[in-house]
This record gives sequence, C-alpha cells and structure tokens, in this order.
Amino acid sequence: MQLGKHAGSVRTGSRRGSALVLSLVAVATVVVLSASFSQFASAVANRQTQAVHRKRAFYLAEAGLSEAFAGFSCGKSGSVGSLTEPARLGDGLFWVEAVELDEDVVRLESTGMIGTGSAKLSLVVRRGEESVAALGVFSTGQVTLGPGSLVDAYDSTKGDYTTQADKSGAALGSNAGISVTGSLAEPSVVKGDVTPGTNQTVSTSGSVTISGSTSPALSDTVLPAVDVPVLKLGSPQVHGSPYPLVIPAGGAGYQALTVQAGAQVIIQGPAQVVLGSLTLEATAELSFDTTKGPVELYVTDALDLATGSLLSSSSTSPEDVLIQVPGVTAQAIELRASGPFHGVIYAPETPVVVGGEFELFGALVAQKLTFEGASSLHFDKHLAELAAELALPVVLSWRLVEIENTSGDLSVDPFDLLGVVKNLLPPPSGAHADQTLSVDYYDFSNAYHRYTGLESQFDWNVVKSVITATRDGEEVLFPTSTTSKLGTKKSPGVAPIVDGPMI
Amino acid sequence: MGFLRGKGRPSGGRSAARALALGLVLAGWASAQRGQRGPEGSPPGPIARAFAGQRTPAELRRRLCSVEASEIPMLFRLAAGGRLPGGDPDGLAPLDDAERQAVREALCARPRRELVPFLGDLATRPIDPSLRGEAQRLLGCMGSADHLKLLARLTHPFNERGAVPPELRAGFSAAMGAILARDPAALAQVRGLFSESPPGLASSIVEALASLRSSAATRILGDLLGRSPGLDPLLLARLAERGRLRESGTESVFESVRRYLKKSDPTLVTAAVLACGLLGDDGAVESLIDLLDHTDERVRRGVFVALERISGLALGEAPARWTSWYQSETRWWEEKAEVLLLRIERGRGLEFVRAAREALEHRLFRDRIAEAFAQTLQRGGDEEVLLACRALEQLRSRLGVPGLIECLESDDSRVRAAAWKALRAITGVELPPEVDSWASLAG
Repeated sequence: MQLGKHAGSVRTGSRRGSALVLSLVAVATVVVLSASFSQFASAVANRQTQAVHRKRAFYLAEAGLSEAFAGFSCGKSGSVGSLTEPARLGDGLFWVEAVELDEDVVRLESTGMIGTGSAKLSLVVRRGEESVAALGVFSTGQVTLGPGSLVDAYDSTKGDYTTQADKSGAALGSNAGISVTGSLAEPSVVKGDVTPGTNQTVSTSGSVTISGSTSPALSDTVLPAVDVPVLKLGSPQVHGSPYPLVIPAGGAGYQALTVQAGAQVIIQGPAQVVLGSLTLEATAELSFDTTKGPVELYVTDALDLATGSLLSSSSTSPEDVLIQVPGVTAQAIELRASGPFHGVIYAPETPVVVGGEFELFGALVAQKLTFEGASSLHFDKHLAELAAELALPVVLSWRLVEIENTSGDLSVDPFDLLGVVKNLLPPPSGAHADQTLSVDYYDFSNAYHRYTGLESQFDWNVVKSVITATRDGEEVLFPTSTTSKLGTKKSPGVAPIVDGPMI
Repeated sequence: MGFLRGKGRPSGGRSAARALALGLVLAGWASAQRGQRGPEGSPPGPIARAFAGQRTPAELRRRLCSVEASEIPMLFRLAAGGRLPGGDPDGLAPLDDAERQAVREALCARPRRELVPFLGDLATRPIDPSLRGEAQRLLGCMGSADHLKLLARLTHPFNERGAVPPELRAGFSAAMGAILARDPAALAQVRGLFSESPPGLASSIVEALASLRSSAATRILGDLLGRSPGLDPLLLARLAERGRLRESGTESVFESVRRYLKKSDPTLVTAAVLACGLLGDDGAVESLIDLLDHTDERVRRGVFVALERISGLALGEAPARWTSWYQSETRWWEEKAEVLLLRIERGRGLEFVRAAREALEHRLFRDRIAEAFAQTLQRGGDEEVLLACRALEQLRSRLGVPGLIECLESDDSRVRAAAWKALRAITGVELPPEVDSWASLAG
C-alpha cells in the first residue's frame, strides 16, 4: 500500500514538471513560428518591393525610350544622358545610348534605375524618309510658264478637284529664276506662292495673276537622288497590238518600251517597273492600275509622251503613281500627253517640257521646267501631309534586354550606386546630347535672327517662331505643328541678326 | 422659253402685239446678256430660245425636252461641243457644266425610236471622236441589250492595226458597263459581241465586264480566257481583281485560270499565279507548290504571294516550309478531316469544341471547313452556334454569310453579336445588325 502511495506521489511530482516543460515547448514553438512567419513575411515584402522596383525601373526605361524617340524625331541624336550623368525622373534615373547600326538605322538602348530595380530596353528605329512631293511644282533650274498656264492646288482627300472651291495653296518654286508669261486671250494663273531661288526674281509679262508671295527662297533646295531598284531588264518591246500589254504586279523591267499609236499598256500595282526608255506615240495609252497597290515607274534614259498620247490612272490619289527619272537623259523629258494624270513626277537631274494638253494632279519636280502652253498643274496638298508623315522615324523593333535587381538590400539607392548627386542631374528634356544647331527664327519683336552653334548655348526662350532649323544637318521637325510644310521656305527679305552664344 | 413663246406668238390682238414686242425685247436683252444667240438677222431657233431668259437647270431641261424631234441633231451637237449651235462660234460663250448636263439629260429622255436612227446614221459617217464619244455617253444612259452592236459600230477601230483611240475605248467601256448594269439581258449577248468585235474593241468589252460585280460577269470573263490569246493577260488581271470567289459555278473559272499555270510564258504564268492567289483558289495550291522552283524570279515571288493569300499564313519565301505545310495539310485532310468535320456538323458540347479547335488550325480548303460550321448554325445549340459564328469569322469564308444573317434574329444576344461581328469581318461591310440590311449579301 505504502509502496503504492510512494509510487503515487512520484507520479504527481512528474506531472507538475511536465506542464512546465510543455508550456516552455509551446512558448518556444510559438516563438519559432512567429520568427519564421515574420521572416517569411519580411521575405515576401522584400520580394514584392523588389518586384515593384523592377516594374518602376521598366517604366523609367520606357520613359527614356520615349524621350529619345521624341528627340530623334526632331533631328536629335537619340542619346539622352549617360552612365556618368543620367537624366533624373522622379526618384529614379535613366540614360539612353544611340548606336548607329546602318545608314539611317539607329538602336536606342535605354537603362532605367530606381530603388534596387534596373531595366534595359532596346528600340531599333529608322530615320524618316525625305519626300519631295511637298515641294509642289519645283525645279532646280529655270522655270518658264507659257501663256494659259494654270498652277493651283486642291486636296485629294476632300473629293474631286472640280467640286472644291478653294484652289489656293499651290507651290511653284525654283533654285533659279521663274518666268511667267500670259496674254489677254490666255492669261496665266498661279494660285499660291511663287518662290524663286535665293537672290532670284519672278519675271512676269502679259496677263499674269499670282495670288501668293513672290519673295525668294531662304536657301537652295537640295533634291535627293533616286534609288533605282535592281531588276533584270528584258529586251526592248515595241507594243502595237490592239490588245493591251499587261505588266503584272511585282517587279518588271524592259530596256525600252515603245507604245505605238492606239495601243495600250497597263501596269498593275503594286509594282516597281524599270524602263530604259519609254515612248508613247500619239493616241497610245499608258494606264496605271492601282486598285491593288501603288506603281513606281523608273525611266532611266528617255521619256517621251507624244502629243495625243494618254497617261491614265485608275485612282485619283496622286501618291499611288510615282514616275521617277534618276539621271540625266540625252534629251529633255517631254510630257505632251493629254488628259488628267494623277501622280507624282520626279526628275531631279533632267529638264522637263510640259505640253499644252498635259494636266497633272499631284506634284512635279525637275531639273528645269518649261510649260509650253496652256498646261494645268494642280498640286495636291495632301501630298504635303503624307510627306510630313514619311519624315517621321519608324520603329523597326523593340525588345527587353534585361530586368533585374541590383541588390538584395532595399536601402540601396541608384544615385549612390552610380556616384551621382540627385539634385545636380538634368531633367530628361535637358539631358539630350549636345549638337550643332542652325536656326533661323523671329524673336518677339519680329526681328529676323540666325544662330549657328551648340544647342546648349542657345536660349529657345527668345524664339517666337522658327523659319527653319537643323541639328547636325538634320532638319528639325515640329510634330505639334498643325500645318504641313508646303513648297520651299521663303526668305524674310532682310539680312539676319547673327546671334552668338547666349548661355 | 415657254414664257417667251407663249407671250410672243402673234395672235392678231393689240395686247398680243405688245406682248410680242416685249418678248422680243426680252429675248434681245437675254441674247445680249449671253452674247450667244442665233445668226444675225435670223430669229433664234427652238434650242436657242430654250436658253433665253432666267432658268434653272431643271427648267432648261424641261424646255429642251419639249423641242421637236427634228432638233435632236442640234441638241446632240450642243451636248458634244458645249456651245450653242447656229451662231458665230467666236461669239458664243460655252455652256457651263450644269447647262451641258441639262442638255444631256434632255437627250436621254427622248424616246429611243428617235435617238437610235440618228445614232445609227452617225455610225456610218466619218469618225469625229468628240461626236462618237457623246454618242457613246448617250447610249450608256439610255441603251439596252439591243444597242450593244450599235455601240460597237460607233466605236469602230480607226487604224489598220485595229486600234481604237483611248478616249473612245474608255467611252465604250463606260457605256457598255452602264448597259450591262441596267439590262440583265445584255450579259447574254456579250460572248457573241466579243466574237464579232475587232481586236481593238475586245479589251474594252473585257473592261466593261470587269466593271460589273456579278458572278455571271465573272463566269463570262472566265469563259473568254483563251479565245484571244493576246487578251489573256488582261483577262487574268481583271479576274484577279474580283477577290475571293465562292459563288456556285465559279469552279469553271478556277479551272480556266489554273490552265495558265502550266504555260511557258513567265509573264502569263505570273499573272495566273497572282490570279489564283487573289481568287483564293485552294485547288491550285498543288500546282503553285510545283512552281516554287520555277526559273523565273517573278513567278517564284508571285507563288509566295499567292500561297500567303490562300492560306493566310506568312511562311516567307522559303519553299521548304511551304512544301512541308502542304504535305501536313494534305495528310490531315486524307486521314482526319472527314471525321472531324462530321463532329463539327453533328457533335455537341466538348466533342464539338475539340473538333472545332483542331479544324481551325488548318488553312487549306477553308471553305470546306466553313461549310461544316455553316451546318452547325442551322442545327446546333446556342453554345455551338456561338462558337460556329466565331469560327466563321476566323475563316473569313463567304459560305457562312446566309447562315450568319439568319443568326441576327437569334434569341440569344451573344449569338446576334457574334454573327454581326463575323458578317462585318467576312464582308468588310459596315451595316446595322438587322437582317434586312444584310439581305442583299445573302447571295
């Protein structure tokens, strides 16, 4: 019994101790769990913060690309800031490096950093193309308009030419002089500006009406050369069959193409056609079928459209048909065809003679321009809008190069990491690489100024309006401008005030 | 003119005489204003009188409609020349566009029995392009199937090679196009006219047919292939412009075009290749694959363009990829397609969804797949019909159009919305979601 009692007291003492141990174990477990949970929560929060930093860095890099692209669009190099002096934006920073990959193709690589996040994005862009269609009717040499000539303008997007009341806005220009002749029976009319070359004049005789300005150009216009596609040229063709010769869509070329009287040639778009020479005899017809795409016709040696021949297009949009003559031809190009032709004719190195029955809707650019008689050239103002669009750069590719966290320590600051002082860094707009700026402008007292020098030393606040500007020789576009560039820039007619460095 | 004639006619009374004097004064004043009245010393003719005084184009048209039939030649010359006849041409002011249009409308409104003999007579006279052009325009606005030969006579070739002046060529096409559009019976005469016409007119007949967007015109264009070899490139080009053909009876057109894939002239083969692509001829794919290694670059490029058009895939200019794609497609059609299309037509629920998903991965013979989905539209449950609408939208096949139009009346708003979306995607036409609006496209 005693034994049993003793035994019972031992069991009681043991039970008391176990409660304490159990309590301690429970407390320890809670502590461990709490610590683990705290650790886990901290790790999750850390990861979330790092993810947020990465995302914000990504947006900063995107902002860098946008800033660089905007600058690139208006003639800047595309470089914004650098590793040693990045641009500051909010609590982060970015810099963009521009690398020339090929002619007119540039890679913009933007790095954005904020907190521990770092992102690098790459954009490959191609510079915009220069279009001469906005020049209207233009020649680098002398322009001569005979009696009865009509040069006016319309907008092909606003319906048919005949239905439009406003025919003003034509652009007739030259790098040399311009001569316009009219008579009482056949007055000549230009509904718009006539712009002779620098220090040149417009001479008129007889009944001539010019509704716009005749002041000379600010500077000579340089016409870009024509790139002829490389195509295998077939043997010379003389087409006289009563059945039309159809040149199907795609690429095609002939050493020469002669279309005899009454015969017809149809070029189906989309097509690039190269011809050594093109001759249309009287009553021959060359038709451009652009229902499926535009047609580009290159004529390298001779272009002769005889009186009574016909150029026609299935479309009334001049941008659908482009006739280009790349070099100097042995004889002047003769456009004596009749009927309305909607298209653009570009012959920068060859004189062009326009016959009295020729009626062009679009634009015409030549080395020398002679209107023989009562020909009509209706400049399509929509071409200027298209030219402005074409001048903007084109994005070829975008890619994410890398996105990472520079450190696991959330207290790391990119400014400390790069060793730069946050408050001394420039804002994005001020971080573009410095360039040589050449600008003609009016100040707020309407005085004409000219500045050539580093852009960093020029104060844009003194400018009321810009006449023309280039950065490193690239024309500066003003995307916010509501009007497209039409014709050639006019000279203010006075000598400019030449500015020195302002800043 | 009516006012002047009424008041100016001598009636014997004093008041009438006064009215006549007033009328003559007004007429003289109006003549002086326009400076274009009849020869000096002679009274103005009925047409000149029609132009006298103040009048709107509608009034002028009304007055010109009431002149005698004997004035038709004068009226015609007025429409062609744009100047009032009978006076000194130097002293005449040309008609403005509205006046000239009124003259043309007045001519068109004359009975055919008056106009046709006059035009027939004109066709026998020496060619004056401006008069012939006006005659073409006149026939275009009033002619019917019976007048096609007269139109051809008026546009007779003018040189030894059988060529037609460009302006008459265009005028013929426009007039014939207008007649074909107005008179369905004229289509039946086209083949005969084509056979009888000189070469210079044949291309204009083709252009007129090409301007008509009907399956009958398409079939005639297809039939004309090979009848005048010189005209085949133009026919192929105009057929190609008609886009994807899915009307019944166009298989003959496909076959006619496919024949040209085997020709030796690369220009002709290129034209046929492009036509096959634009017409969406699935049956030509095998022949196109064979042309991938053609010696002429234009043909090869054309084949890539055509295959892209037919398949909707952009596999680039890599012959191996296209060959591989074609082999896998033919294998699928031989081994699996039949069962799957049956499941699409008759299946329900998951079975239908699985079959639809697999079928939509294939781009060859899209119309046959679309046909199966079109069946579903008629017999499927709401969920199946909804999926079928989406599938048809993806397949861009016109075969589903009638069924989709019926779905616009479905009780389920989701089906109606999906059908409307598919219809717009397939036809490229923006119309409201009402059956009546789409009825003309039901085919």
